[in-house]
Amino acid sequence: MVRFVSVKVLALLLLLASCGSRSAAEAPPARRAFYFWRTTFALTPVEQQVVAALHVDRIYLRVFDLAWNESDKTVAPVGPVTLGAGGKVPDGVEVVPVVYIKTEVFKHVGKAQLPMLARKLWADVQSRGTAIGFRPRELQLDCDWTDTTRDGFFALLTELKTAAAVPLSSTIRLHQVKYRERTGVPPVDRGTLMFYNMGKFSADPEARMIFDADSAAKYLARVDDYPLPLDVALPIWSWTVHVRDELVVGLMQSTDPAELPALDFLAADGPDRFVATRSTFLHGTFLREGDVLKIEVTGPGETLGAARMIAPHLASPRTVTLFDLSERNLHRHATDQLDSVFRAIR
Amino acid sequence: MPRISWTRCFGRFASAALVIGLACAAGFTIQSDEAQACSGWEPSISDMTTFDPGVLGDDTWGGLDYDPFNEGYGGPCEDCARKAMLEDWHGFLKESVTPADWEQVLFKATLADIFAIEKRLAGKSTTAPKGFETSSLWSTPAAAPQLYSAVEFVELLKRMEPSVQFEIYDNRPRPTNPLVKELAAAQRGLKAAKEPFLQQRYAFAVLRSLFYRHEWPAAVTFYDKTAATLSAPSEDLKWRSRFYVAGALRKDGRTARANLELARIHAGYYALSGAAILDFRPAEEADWKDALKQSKDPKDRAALWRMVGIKHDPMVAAQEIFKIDPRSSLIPLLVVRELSRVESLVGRTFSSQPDPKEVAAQNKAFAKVEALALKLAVAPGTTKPYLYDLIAGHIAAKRGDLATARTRMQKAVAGAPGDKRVASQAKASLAVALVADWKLNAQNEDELAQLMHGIDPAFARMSSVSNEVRTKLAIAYAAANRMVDAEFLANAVTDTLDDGNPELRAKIKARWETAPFLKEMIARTDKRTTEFDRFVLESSHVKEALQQELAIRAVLDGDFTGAQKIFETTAAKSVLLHTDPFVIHPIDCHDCDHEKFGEKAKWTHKNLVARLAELELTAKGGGEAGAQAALAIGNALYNITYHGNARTFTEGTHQSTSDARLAERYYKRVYDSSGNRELKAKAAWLAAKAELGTLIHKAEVANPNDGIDAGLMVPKTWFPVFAKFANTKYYKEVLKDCGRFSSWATKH
Repeated sequence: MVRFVSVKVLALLLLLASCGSRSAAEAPPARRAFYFWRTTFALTPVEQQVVAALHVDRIYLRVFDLAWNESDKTVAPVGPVTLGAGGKVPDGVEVVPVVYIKTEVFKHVGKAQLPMLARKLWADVQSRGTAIGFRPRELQLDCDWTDTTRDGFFALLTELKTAAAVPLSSTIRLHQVKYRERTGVPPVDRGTLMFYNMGKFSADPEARMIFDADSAAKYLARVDDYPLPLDVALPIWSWTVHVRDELVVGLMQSTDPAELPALDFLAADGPDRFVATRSTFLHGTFLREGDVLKIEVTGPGETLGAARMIAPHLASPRTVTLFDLSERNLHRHATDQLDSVFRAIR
Repeated sequence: MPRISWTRCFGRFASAALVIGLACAAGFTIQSDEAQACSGWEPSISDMTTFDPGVLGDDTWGGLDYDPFNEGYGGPCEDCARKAMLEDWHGFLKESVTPADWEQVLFKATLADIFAIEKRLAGKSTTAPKGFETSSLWSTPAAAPQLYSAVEFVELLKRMEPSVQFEIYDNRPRPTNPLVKELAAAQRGLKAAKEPFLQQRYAFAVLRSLFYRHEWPAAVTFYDKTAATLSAPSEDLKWRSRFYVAGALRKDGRTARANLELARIHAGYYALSGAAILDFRPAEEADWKDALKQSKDPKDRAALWRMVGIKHDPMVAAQEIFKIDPRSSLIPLLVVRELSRVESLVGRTFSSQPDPKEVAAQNKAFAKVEALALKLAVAPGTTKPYLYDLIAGHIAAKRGDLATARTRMQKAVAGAPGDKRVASQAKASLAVALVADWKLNAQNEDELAQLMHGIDPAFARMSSVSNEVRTKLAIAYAAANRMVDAEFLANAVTDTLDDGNPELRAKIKARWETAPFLKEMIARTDKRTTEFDRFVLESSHVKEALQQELAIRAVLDGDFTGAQKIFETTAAKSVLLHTDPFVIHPIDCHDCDHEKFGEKAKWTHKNLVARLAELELTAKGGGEAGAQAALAIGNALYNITYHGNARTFTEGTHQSTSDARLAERYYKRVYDSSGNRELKAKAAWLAAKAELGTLIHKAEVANPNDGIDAGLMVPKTWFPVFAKFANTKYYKEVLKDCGRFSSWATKH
């Protein structure tokens, strides 16, 4: 009897295993992509080489932010991308424009203005596309909408469907997956799940804000049945966290952690931690004497771990996008390591 | 600001132990998620702090209630430019034209209108453009030459408009070489103008043209050479010129001087201060040092540090300004700003304990502010030392050091005799100190009530002080098992920081759902002997609403006569329900019923309860008439749950429920007692709906943190019963309308 049961269990396990491997083997490979988030579009030679070597065929390019300008009461594109010297879209790479929309826009713009806003937004995206050298065949909207701003954002998406006449996608944050009943599901063709920014801000040296496996695990159960086809974005970036009195007071996104050791107003205070020795400015941030700068690095291990964790929860076809394409990040992630990340989500 | 609902307030402090036990267990695990999920909402600084910056008096500059998280402090000023422009022109044109008619020229006239106006003023035409026929432009012929020169300048403005004014989301392609003719015209105008007024305006037009042509160095050079002309007579144009040159400097890469000009604007001209500080962006140590180096005098240096203080770090800035000018009114302003920042570091909530790391950081930061305040209070040359005593006293109060707080507050009040704001802050801070380490006794109760009642009602932090005091008291009274007082104290709290705790809320809701507790609450509304008794009741539950709750409770417990008696013998609140609670459908449609019956429905709490009592008598009589009456009761009982069309019956009370068991019992009575198959079918179906409603209710109670997937739920008792009525008309109707049942019926 015992033997019989074991055989049955074994058969079941084999069946499950074969189902799993069959589906993975038959799934088409995921599309490979990068986010490009700088305001000057020009890939450096290193970036071009990596894009080519990894067979990346898509770049999600932030074309501008849409924000509310309080002084002149307008909605205005902020930080538009421009074409840098020698910049061109690599051969064989499709560029998907991304517009980051600040939620404050929806607190000021009424529904009646949305059709016009959608038309102008799309016209602006197209003209910037022309200037950079691509024709948009998809538009992605990035917005940290919540239950209080969803109506405005979703209404804009609906207007964009008419205005843009190309498939729409939206970034999806983890809280939007978990609390979909409250935050709603955007009316778009696909979503890109941002599989990062999941930890609580903390000055704790061990705290992980970019990717934290324990926090990530809490969201996974709700990813499978999310009612939109999902692609995924994975982190490869690192950042500098500004800490005062053991509390995080800000993120210094434009500060390359690698430059900190050379600054004469910072003193090393353990690994990945520096203390300001006088009050001064650094890349627009005012540091008070005694403030701490903590470096949080997303290394190849974390990114690969994230990829392996999310892979079983995504249906094919899917695109895997790494955030973001920059030499700073590529220095920490070798090409073969990035290839492993892409391979982990076939 | 909306008042919090009962579940949110009471659910936070049933007892201190319960709070710690339950809130920590559930609250912290989801805290970061919740924070993100709710990121669309932000509390204001007045919600988060209990120190009134108004104590600074005139030093708050413009009377602004500033916010340490608001970089745009001081602006923007919506209509300042328009007002200033109209005033400037009126000063120039005086009585030559009425202000309203000139406003029409400035803001409404088209370029074609301007040409026609010029023609007439020059005597080359006798007609006026449409809308200007009766304008006062034509009433003083002697003024025509002056008006002509003014309109000629307006023509230049109108010509410049397309290149310098942009619509909402303006993505027109910019001309590559804009404003060529306009720049030349402005330069000619500057040369030709005789009056300083027009000279300044033409000079401003030149500067703007250069700016919008992106000729940054030329704009700066022009500004430097023409500074005197640009500075008078219009004060507004003087500062706007400076703002343009700051922009040109930044675009030209001369960040240090750009920041210095912005600091001067912020310190000198209110209308542009908000815009100036938004643009103030020292990036690196070198350009910041360079800005300080370029400053001409201590005033400049103080202006630069003021920007740092407001935008970045009030503590460092206050100390730097103290070195420059110990008498500067900016110092207390910045220290209070830092105090506000520090006080807002820790969120006060009922259902979760403050993060110990945040508390530790706050204590450290408070200690730094306190040390600085104590130093400044005795420093030679300090103006208004009482402000620093007040600040230091408030910090002592926040940590619960009542004795120190008392000493410092006495000193502060003595230093500012007759200052109502200081006196109110002192009382508020002492109240905060008292509750920070609350000892439950009559003496403390008396002192606290007197302090709170002694605060000037106009005190700017009344709401947050009241919230803090009542929150801490409520927790203390709940811990002492004085739940009625705790509930009264809590209900008055406007809490914008707490998202509540479902488990705790459920426990408290259970207490509210008992008649004895409701009766105790009602009785407490009459206890007004001491000042503290009255303080507890202020802005909290009112008797009429509590009596209504008691009556609703009776209905939900099946005691219709008891409920009727409450409405008849007390002032229990009763309002229109905006629906017909006796209407029922195979599939519920809350909104359809409200739309259909909302305006004309006569039903109120009171007459619904009376009708239920009447129907109950008929139902007890039995027979088909009794069955019909029981059905009507079942319908009403179902409808007043969350599933039905009359949830307004319990809305805003603690009795709101989705539990439909009582309705189901009445439907069962109909099913058991009627001989009419159609009626039995109907009763069985409605019982099934009630059963489903109760299943949802139970799932919600069991999993308050998760969404409920009602799609998988099946009323296992009543679906099979209803299935036996396949040959009835009602059955066919249901089968057509209800996918859940038709899908179940297909499988069974």
